[in-house]
Amino acid sequence: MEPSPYLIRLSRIARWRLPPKEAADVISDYSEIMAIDPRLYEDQCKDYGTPKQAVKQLTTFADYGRWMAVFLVLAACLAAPAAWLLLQFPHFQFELPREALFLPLLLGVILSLVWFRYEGERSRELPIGLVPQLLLLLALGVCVMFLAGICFSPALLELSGTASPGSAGFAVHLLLCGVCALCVLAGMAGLVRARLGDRRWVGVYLLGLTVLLNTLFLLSVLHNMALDIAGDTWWVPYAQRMGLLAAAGVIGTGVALC
Amino acid sequence: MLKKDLLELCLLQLLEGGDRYGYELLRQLHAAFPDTQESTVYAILRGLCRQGHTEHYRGESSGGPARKYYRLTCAGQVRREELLTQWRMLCAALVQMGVK
Repeated sequence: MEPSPYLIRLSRIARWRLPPKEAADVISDYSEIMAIDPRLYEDQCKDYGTPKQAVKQLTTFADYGRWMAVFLVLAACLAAPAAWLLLQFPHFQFELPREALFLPLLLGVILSLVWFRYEGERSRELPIGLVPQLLLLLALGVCVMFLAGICFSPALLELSGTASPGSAGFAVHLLLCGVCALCVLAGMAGLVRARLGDRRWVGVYLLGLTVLLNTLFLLSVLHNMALDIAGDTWWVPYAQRMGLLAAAGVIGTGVALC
Repeated sequence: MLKKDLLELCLLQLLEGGDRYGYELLRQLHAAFPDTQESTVYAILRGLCRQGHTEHYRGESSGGPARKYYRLTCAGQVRREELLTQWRMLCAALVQMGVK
């Protein structure tokens, strides 16, 4: 039997506001009630209250407050670096403390893995759409690393003297900003879906965060005004740090999928 | 005594009469208190369960799927007595003030 619109809305709100076990219990109870009393959505709202009102009455401040705090921290790990990018548009005159990019990654990986390990649910089958989204983000990440490789290569530096560095740089900048926007959207959607359904969606959040931070790292290197690129190996510390960011994020994503 | 306590007393009293399934309890209380939404009654019922005043089990229904039945626990009986005492005191106080 098709679930009623009331039950669909109530399930969504219950999964968002209540701990997973309690949400499952409430949804099961309301499914039983709706099966005995199938009526129009409006009539059900009149007797039961709107789905939001119904769930609100079951919400305990401590449980919901804890989840909201975790959600805000995890969302900030994604949004704060992206906001930094947005705030500097279009000049990029500020120097990004690149080591600071490790902080949101570490916080995002540890907090999301610990929280969803205890407060998340895992179905037997892999959620539909999870693998394509992970592959898309992985492809974006590989593209960013590839672009970093091109930017760091001495051949390109030599070429930039003869080609049109201004327009190429602007195109790369726009491309990287687009990648950042996509990562934020995918990451936020992954976080929300991890709460509403299978906890393995947190893998999308973590991979989105990893690609975002690596992209920001590359952007900050490209806008770097420091004069440390005189030697042949100037790019090595940058590449190492990008590799570290990527490795930490990919390992975190792998753990999230287990 | 708040309205919530009154609803709690009614639920415990209904369960004192025998085990009932959720929908039955919600309908009976909604019929007695039409201005109270059934979700409010459900929230109180869950609260009673959480506090150990009631417990539930899966029971057979005639011709349909198994239903969740609620029953009163010993702690629930003590709580019912407490609420009943409060209710009687409230009634006595109201009568003393001339409210009939």
